[in-house]
Amino acid sequence: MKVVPGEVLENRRLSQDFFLLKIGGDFPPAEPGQFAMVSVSSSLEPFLGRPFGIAMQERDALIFLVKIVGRGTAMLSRRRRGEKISLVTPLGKGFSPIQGRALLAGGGSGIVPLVFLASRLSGYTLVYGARTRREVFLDAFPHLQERAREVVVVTEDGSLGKKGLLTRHIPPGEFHMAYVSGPWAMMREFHRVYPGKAEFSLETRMACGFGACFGCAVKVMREGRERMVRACVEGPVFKGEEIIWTQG
Amino acid sequence: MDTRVKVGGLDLKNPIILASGTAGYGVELAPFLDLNRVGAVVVKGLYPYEREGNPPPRVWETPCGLLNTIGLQGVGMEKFAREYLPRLEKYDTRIIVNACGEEDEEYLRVVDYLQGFDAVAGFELNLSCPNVREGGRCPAMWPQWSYEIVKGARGLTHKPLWAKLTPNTSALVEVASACREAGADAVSLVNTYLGMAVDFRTRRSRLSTLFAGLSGPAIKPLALRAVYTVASSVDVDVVGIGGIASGEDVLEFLLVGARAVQIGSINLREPSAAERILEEAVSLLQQEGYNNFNEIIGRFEGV
Repeated sequence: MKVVPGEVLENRRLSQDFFLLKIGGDFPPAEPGQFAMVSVSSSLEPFLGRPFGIAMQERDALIFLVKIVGRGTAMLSRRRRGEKISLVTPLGKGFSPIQGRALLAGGGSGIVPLVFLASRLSGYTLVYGARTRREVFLDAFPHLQERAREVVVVTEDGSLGKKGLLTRHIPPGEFHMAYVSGPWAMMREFHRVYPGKAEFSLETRMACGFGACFGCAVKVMREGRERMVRACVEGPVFKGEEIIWTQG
Repeated sequence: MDTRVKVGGLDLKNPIILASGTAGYGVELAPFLDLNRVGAVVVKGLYPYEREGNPPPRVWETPCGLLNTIGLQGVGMEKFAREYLPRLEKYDTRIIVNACGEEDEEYLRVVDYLQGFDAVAGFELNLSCPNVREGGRCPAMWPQWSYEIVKGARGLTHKPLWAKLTPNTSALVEVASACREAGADAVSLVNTYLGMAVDFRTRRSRLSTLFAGLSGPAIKPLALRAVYTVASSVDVDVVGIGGIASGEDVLEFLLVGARAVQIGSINLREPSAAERILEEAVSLLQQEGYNNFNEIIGRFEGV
C-alpha cells in the first residue's frame, strides 16, 4: 500500500446515482475485496478521502463504480478527464482464495468487489440485486456474464429479472463458498437464510483507511470473544460466522 | 539547515511530531512515511489493559475536519511493549507514550510499567480525551485533578513528562500552571474541541455518543490562540497541536510560542504529510533567512 498520484482517465455516468471512474497511475497490484482511499479534492475541503472497493485493476489503471451518496461522491462524479487525483491503495484484506464452485451475491453498489473477484474466477453463480434495471451494470463489465455459469438478476421493482429482494432468490446448489457484498440488512438476511460458508464485505464509515485512527471498527468474534477490529485492516472482508450481526 | 529543537526535556531532530490517536502505534504510518524523518512519534493512548473503545459510528466528517469518538480503543501497555515497541525502536526517532487511565492510578501504572523500556523516550499524560467519560469530562478541565495525576507520575519517572491538555475549559492557563507546578516538562495542546453532529431526519446523533472531539484545519485558529495564551503566560514548554496541515502552519505555532508541534488529523488524509510539512517549513525558513527553528520560536510581535 502506498500513496499514488493518479489522473482521471474516464468518468462516465451510468445512471442517475452511479458513475464509473477510471484512474490512471502506477498502482501496486490489488486483490479482489481490497479497496482504495480516493481523495476528493486537493484542497482541505472535503477533508477526508473516500473508501471505494476496487472494481477492476488494469495494467496502469484502477476502475471504480461509485454510488453518489453525499457531497464527496457528488464532487467526484464531476471530476474530468486529465484531472489529478491521489489514491492510497491497495488497502484491507480481501476475499480468501477460491477452491471449487463459488456463489457471488451482490446488492446495489455491493457488486463492486465481486466484479473484481469474478475476473479471477469462472463457472460461478452470480446473483445480482438492484433497485431497478437501470442500476444493473452487467454491460459495463461484460466478464461478469461471460465467465459465469449462471447469472440471476433480481430487481426490487421487477423491471429486470426476478422481482423482490436478492435474499429471496438465492440460487440453489452446492457451493464451496459464497462471497457476499451489499447493504448491511441484505447481508444480515443472507447470513440468516444461507446455510453454507460465506464471506461478507462490510461497508463502514472510515477516516484514514490504513489503521491509524480506529474510526471504522466493527464487532466480530475473535479468539473466542467479541472484539472491535478495524474494518480497514482486519477487513473489510469477514467470515459470516465471526460477524456480530446484532450490531447496527 | 539545523532543524533540531529542545522541548520538554527532549532533544528532537526536528519539531515535527506525530500526534497521538492519528498515527496508530506508529507502524501503521511506516508504509507511507519514513519515521526516521519525524522528531518524535506519540503513540496511541495506552491503558494498563486492552480497551474496546466506543461503538460505531465513531467518525463524522465536518467542514475542514472531523469529529471522532473512538474512545481510546487500544492494545494495552503490555501488548504494546511486547509487539509494537520492538518494531518502533528500529527507527531513529523519539517514542513518546501517551498514557491514559479511567482511574488516576491507572495513568501511574502505565508510566511505571513502560518507563523501564529504553525505547520509551518520555510520556504524554492524556488528561484530555473527551470521549471516555460522561459528558466529555476529563482531568485537564480542572487544575487540581491535573496536578494530582502529573504529581503522581512525576514521582515515578525521571523521563520527560508532558501533559496533553483540553481546550474545553475556562481554566486552561491555570491547568497548564498546575501541570508545571506538579513537575511536567511540557504541556501539549490542544486536544479536540467538544462538538456534536446531529441528523435532523432521524433526530439522533450521527455518532455513537452525544459529544465527540473536533479536529483538523477547522480548529487551527482556536488552537493557535490557546497555544499563544499558555505560552505567553505560563513558564512551561508548549507543544502546539491543532489543525496543522502545512509548513507555514508549523511556523505560525512556533512563532506564538510552541517549541515543537504535533501533526494530527492531516495524517488520516495524507499519511505522508509529516515529511511534506517538514520540507515546507524548512524551505520557508530558509527563504526568510533563518538558520534554524529556534530563531522563530516565541518571536511573535503582536498586532
